[in-house]
Amino acid sequence: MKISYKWLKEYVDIKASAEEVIEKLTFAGLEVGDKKKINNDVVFDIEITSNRPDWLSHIGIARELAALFNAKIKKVKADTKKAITENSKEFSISIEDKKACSRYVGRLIKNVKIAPSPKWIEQPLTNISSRLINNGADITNFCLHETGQPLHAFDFDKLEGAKIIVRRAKKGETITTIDGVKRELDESILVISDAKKPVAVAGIMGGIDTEVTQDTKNILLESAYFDPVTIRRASRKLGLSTESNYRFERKVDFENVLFSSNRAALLFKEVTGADISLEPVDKNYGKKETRAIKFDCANIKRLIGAEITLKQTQAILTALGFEVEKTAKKGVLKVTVPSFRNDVLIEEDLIEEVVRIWGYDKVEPSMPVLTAHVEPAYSKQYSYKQKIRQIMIGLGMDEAVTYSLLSRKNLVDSYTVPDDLVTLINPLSHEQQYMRSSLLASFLKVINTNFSRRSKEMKIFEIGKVYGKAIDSFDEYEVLSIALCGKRFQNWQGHSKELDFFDIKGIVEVLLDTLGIKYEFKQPILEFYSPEESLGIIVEGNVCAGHFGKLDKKMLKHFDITNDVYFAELNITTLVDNAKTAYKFSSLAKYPSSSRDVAIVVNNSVSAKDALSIIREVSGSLAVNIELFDVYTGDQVPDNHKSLAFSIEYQSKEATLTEEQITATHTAVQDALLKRLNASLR
Amino acid sequence: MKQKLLQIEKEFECEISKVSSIEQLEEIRVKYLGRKEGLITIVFKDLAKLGADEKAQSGKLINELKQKITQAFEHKAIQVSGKTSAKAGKAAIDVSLPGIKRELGHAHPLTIVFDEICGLFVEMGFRVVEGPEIETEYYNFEALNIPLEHPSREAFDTFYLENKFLLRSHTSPVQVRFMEESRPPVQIVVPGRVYRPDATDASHSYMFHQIEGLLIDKGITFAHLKGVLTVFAKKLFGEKTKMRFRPHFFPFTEPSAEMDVSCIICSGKGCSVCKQSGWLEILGSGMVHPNVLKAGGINSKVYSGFAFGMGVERIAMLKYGIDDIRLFFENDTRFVRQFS
Repeated sequence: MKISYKWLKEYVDIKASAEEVIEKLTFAGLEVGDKKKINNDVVFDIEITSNRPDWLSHIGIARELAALFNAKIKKVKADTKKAITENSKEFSISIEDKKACSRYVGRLIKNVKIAPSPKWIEQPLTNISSRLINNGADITNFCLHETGQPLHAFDFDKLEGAKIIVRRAKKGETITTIDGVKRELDESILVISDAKKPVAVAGIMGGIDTEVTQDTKNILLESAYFDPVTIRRASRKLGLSTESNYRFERKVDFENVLFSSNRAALLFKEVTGADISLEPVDKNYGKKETRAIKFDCANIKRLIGAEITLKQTQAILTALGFEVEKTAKKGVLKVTVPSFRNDVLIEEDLIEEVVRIWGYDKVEPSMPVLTAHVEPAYSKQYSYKQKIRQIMIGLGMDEAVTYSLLSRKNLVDSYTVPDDLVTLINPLSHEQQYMRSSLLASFLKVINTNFSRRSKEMKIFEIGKVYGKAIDSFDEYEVLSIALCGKRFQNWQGHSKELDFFDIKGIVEVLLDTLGIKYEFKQPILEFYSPEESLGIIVEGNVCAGHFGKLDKKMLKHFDITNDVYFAELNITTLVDNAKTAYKFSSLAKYPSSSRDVAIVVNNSVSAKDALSIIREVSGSLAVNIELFDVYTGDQVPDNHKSLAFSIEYQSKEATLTEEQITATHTAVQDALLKRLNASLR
Repeated sequence: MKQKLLQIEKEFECEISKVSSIEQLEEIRVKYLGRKEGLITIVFKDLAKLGADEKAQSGKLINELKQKITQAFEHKAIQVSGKTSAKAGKAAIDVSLPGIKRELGHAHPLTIVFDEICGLFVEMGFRVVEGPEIETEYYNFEALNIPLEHPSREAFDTFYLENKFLLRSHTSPVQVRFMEESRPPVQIVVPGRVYRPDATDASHSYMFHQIEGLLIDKGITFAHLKGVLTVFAKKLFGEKTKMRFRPHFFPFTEPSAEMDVSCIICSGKGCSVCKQSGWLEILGSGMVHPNVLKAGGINSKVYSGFAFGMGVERIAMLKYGIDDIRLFFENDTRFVRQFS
């Protein structure tokens, strides 16, 4: 809200400079943004928090300054007693919805002369960038910025039947507001109507038909209290927001309604020479609410940790407009809250008021004694996430952080549209309407972006959430995703090969081995992988911990990626649940080991895993280490065949193995391989 | 004899200083240290002709000279060949070539800042806990003293899912979730991802990250809030950092305060980052509102506490001088690799 320094000084007796005023306000909780010098004045923007509608006026800010500078308030003239001589019979007011409008003050101002405003009205309004219209409309605006109470002036002679009815609009009714827009109304919207039609959307904007113009002779001036929720809903529904509804939504001061009407009437008389002798009609259905709070001042020290004397406390509250009385109990005050402070409800609110004015900066910082806790500082899952992150970084992977929201197209293109897709009801755009069930699409977008900027290789990972539905609610869990593409590594000793399936497999294996997880691989059935080059990860209890493999070429085309991309996604919780937590020492072997090699030629359909399990089975506990050291296909072996070469390390825990024992076992292994895999020795 | 040795030494020094190749060096080696005709070998042979006293004295001198020549020779060999060993014939490697590196990956700057901030609070005795991103209206609003249809909700525009579920607009729901499950003292920090329907530009993102803190015990005061946050800010931004606390409004704290730190770019002199004010707004904080304690099942007559929350992107942007929030989520490798 824009505040004029010069205008403020009309309401409070201060000598302080604009700079000093800004400084004080900042430390009282009124955040001052831009400030600028204009027409011999300083105008500044204040961000008013939603709990302080009383600050939405110059008088409200002046009241704050009076407390901050210990200065006197200058009262504005609003006494109309002398001017009023007649009862008003020219019009009637009826309130149909008394909950939505608990107070309505209407008064007839006769014989106005509509013209441009005088300098003293025009200047402050211009300085705070309020639009000038004519003296009639300008006076209501002037009062709004002075007292905080929105007012509305109707051209009385255009009100049919000289009637004001505050009611709900009927479905199908319309009104053209003063901004020239025709608006459809319904029962949720409160309107002011005359005998026939709506003449204003209550608390938001007047109608164009009854607007004050050059020809207006008589004005019906409205000052009211409208229910915040009703006004808020109507403003949302109509997509219309004004200075007026902004204040009604935050609650205006109930006691200020008549005061502001009186103040405006005096201004009309002074500025337009109008006749204000008719008494206003005050329809007041609100209960007079006075709230008193018992304030045990010892609680200031309990909550703040600073000593503020009872005398200071009383002085601050009084200056802010609270009524303070002592009670029988020492140090306990009875504080009556003024009508403009709807935000003050409990003792803590009073404590804030006192400390705020006394000064947050005067509270000496001190360190509390924190309790040593038995629970770990980081949860198990959190610790493992950090460990996994370190492993990934150690393996040369760069960390990514991607958006959790995606477009339908992203999901369809990456074959990751789940049955339980989580959809936003009010998305900002279609680009961010769905919550992801996999990080795949996010990663492909990252790869695409980087490739389009001529990056040659990507090795990325992210630990992030994916989302789904549960019974009557939603589900979210954390995954580790990895994507690889480009060259394995490059240096001056020679260019290496492109990254391939065994790179992603190796990364997954290193991770699982480092976490001490027992696992096996199975063929996954996920559409986004190439079926020949992908595996699922199975852990104890036949639980799937994730999957990895080469991504489908056709799918990658949707993201304009022509290179091969390898991807993995693992469920963090499953990894954590299966991670080995206790380690036990096993004694080091005392007897020497001996290695023997075996190379076999087998049909391509035979897998390395088949050969390995035969070696393990036949050698029993004697083979302590089996290494596949060569895989060969080419001229030296028949078509459709490959050679597999293993090195087997034999060792016993009980004794040194004899040459005969080793040969016997190794021969048995060879025979089994040849027979069961239909292999030949190479 | 002595005279002769001095002459050899002088001659050697003169010759070795002119050497510029391994070949020349080898010539000199043969001339002086050669096993048969080397000048040193010859003078050693001459020793035999001397008397016992002079023999011992001269022997010592010859040994000293031999050592001197050998050292000078090795030193020259290094200069000439760039190698530590003078063994001729072995192929030299260019040690100035770059090492073969196994590249490490890089942590994302947001993770680095998360780890740093959480770590600072863990050092003080806080625990790190997390909570769900898909929340209920109760935990995101009502339990935090933000009633329905209240203007204070405007500061928290929210993405909604079916059945009134929503994407949390702050990490504060975890405050109440944690209080429900545990007894005071509560000493937690909560890192997490939050969502608000803000149109994306250089300083706004509909998805961002926060760290929330909560400390509840008997006798916790606003002075403690200032103490803990002052230590935190000095640890994060440096010991000379100044801070100030301004009153503010948050529905879930009373009294509430915003903390500013002296601008880390200009040290408070005024620059474009701090809009010439010398101060940067870093976090919101306050004493936990009695209604929030009540929602968490904690008696506000017995216990009190403070809470605080900060935006992780904002702190990372200030710390690293990043000028566009979108860079965090674009994941250009040239960006991500700059911070570790």
